[in-house]
Amino acid sequence: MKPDLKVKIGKLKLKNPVMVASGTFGSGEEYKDLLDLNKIGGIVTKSITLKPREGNAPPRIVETPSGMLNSIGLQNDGVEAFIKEKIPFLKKIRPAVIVSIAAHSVNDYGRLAERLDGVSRVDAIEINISCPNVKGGLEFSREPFSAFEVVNAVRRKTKKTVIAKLSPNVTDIAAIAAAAEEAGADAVSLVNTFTGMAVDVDTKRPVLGNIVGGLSGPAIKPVALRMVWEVFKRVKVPVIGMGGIMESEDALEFMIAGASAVQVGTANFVNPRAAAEIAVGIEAYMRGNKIKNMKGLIGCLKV
Amino acid sequence: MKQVLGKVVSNSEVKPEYFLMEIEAPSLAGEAKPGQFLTIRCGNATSPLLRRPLGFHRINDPRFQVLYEVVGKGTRLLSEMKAGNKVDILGPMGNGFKIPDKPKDVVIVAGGIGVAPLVALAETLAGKKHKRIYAVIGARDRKSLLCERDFRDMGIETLVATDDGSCGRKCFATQILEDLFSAKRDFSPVIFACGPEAMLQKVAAIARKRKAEAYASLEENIACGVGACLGCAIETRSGYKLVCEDGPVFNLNEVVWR
Repeated sequence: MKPDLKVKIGKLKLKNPVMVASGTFGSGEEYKDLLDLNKIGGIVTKSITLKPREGNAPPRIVETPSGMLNSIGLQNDGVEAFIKEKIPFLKKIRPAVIVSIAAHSVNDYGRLAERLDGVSRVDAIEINISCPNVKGGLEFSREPFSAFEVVNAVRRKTKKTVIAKLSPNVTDIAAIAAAAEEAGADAVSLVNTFTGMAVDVDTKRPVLGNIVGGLSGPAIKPVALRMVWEVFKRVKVPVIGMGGIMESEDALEFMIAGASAVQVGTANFVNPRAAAEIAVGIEAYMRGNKIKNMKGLIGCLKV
Repeated sequence: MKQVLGKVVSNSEVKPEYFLMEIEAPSLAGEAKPGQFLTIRCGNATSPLLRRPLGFHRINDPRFQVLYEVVGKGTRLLSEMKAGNKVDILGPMGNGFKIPDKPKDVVIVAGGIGVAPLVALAETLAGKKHKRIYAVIGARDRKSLLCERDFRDMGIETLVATDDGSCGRKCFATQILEDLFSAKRDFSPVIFACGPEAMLQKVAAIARKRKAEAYASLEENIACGVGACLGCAIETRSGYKLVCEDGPVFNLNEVVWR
């Protein structure tokens, strides 16, 4: 029997639990020639802000052992350009569309949610309260109260599914997740990148133009996994896991530890077909282990 | 653009630490233009993680060549590949060199491994009617001088500069470029360059002084290669541009140096 990979997060319906993470896949169109986008459960688009942002000074990325640092700095053309230029393509494909939003103030998060609320094809909003690369972007998810405020401001402006994307650069991520849940988030996604740094010993300068950046890739997977497990035990809303997922076995680890769905990020750079292949791998695992649906998989960790 | 498994036809060390790899990949080679690039996966391990960008060195559908220097773990792994191995390649990416449509003098300025994409350009230029084509190749020394023969075989006037004078003139390639302008009257060539940033800055300064058009293929760390991650930005007079999508060839007059 064919296992059922469908999963529901708030009102968001995913055909399979594999999404592509914000910032790693543009708005999907960039990858249209490289894989069948319809094999992906959902596309989380690059974070947008109210006004265009030009991003950080280069260099913006550098490879590190089993990972990479980035400091893009939320370069984007703003919400209006997104609606006008990116939504038309997204209307032509089938994966769920989750729009990532970022802002400097609680008020602006609310305005973004309000603007997107009436836009068809926006199936959910992921609140990026954890971008490590802009001043102010991270602080909202550093403290339970500010995380609560942002999520609450968004919640009051939209009926769409709201996902709070959390920072791992905190002492107690479960406390932040609980605050997001209390504020009305339909789900939490974690983890965003870990703040990190690289130094060029020849020039004695930081490698990144922004000095510090966010670490992603396989290097962060064990820590991300531990955080997903901690959050899963604490909240009732679905947890979306991410952090260094390269293949289906990585994704399965997250799901067994409690993730209702996963996001694939850095792996898209290494293999543009990664997300689609991971979905196939999860299905094969479920078939092999006689797991009929996602209920049988999510959080089945034996401890 | 496509992701395909290419077949390594040959992979040999042409000079110490410089390798020439020929890859058979019909669908990809057929689309490639001089100045475009591809990314290649160096292995299946998670370190090195990212694909490595390489410019097309020679394009001869169904095959193409890449010329690369071993500078780290990724290129070391590439250098160990053998004929018959399969390689995961993605491309062609970016925009190629803009070939002048009217006959013009052309000067190619190459520094070190920067010569790699300029050979593909020269092959295209040599097949068209141009007034004169000069290739100025700069290298550390004789041992690291690349492609002199390739340019000469195309009938291109080739001038060599080495840091230690072990081959050609003992100077930087940009000195030869400067001298070309000084020696010729009414010389208004298009310059195509690729090499270290210090060299490109000098080429840009010379071109500005002499009011010549100059284009260069620039390098940045690349993650996605398809314009999605916005990681390979460089600064230009009209804001940040992406090497992968807007480049890798840029008008040197537009580039703002760090």
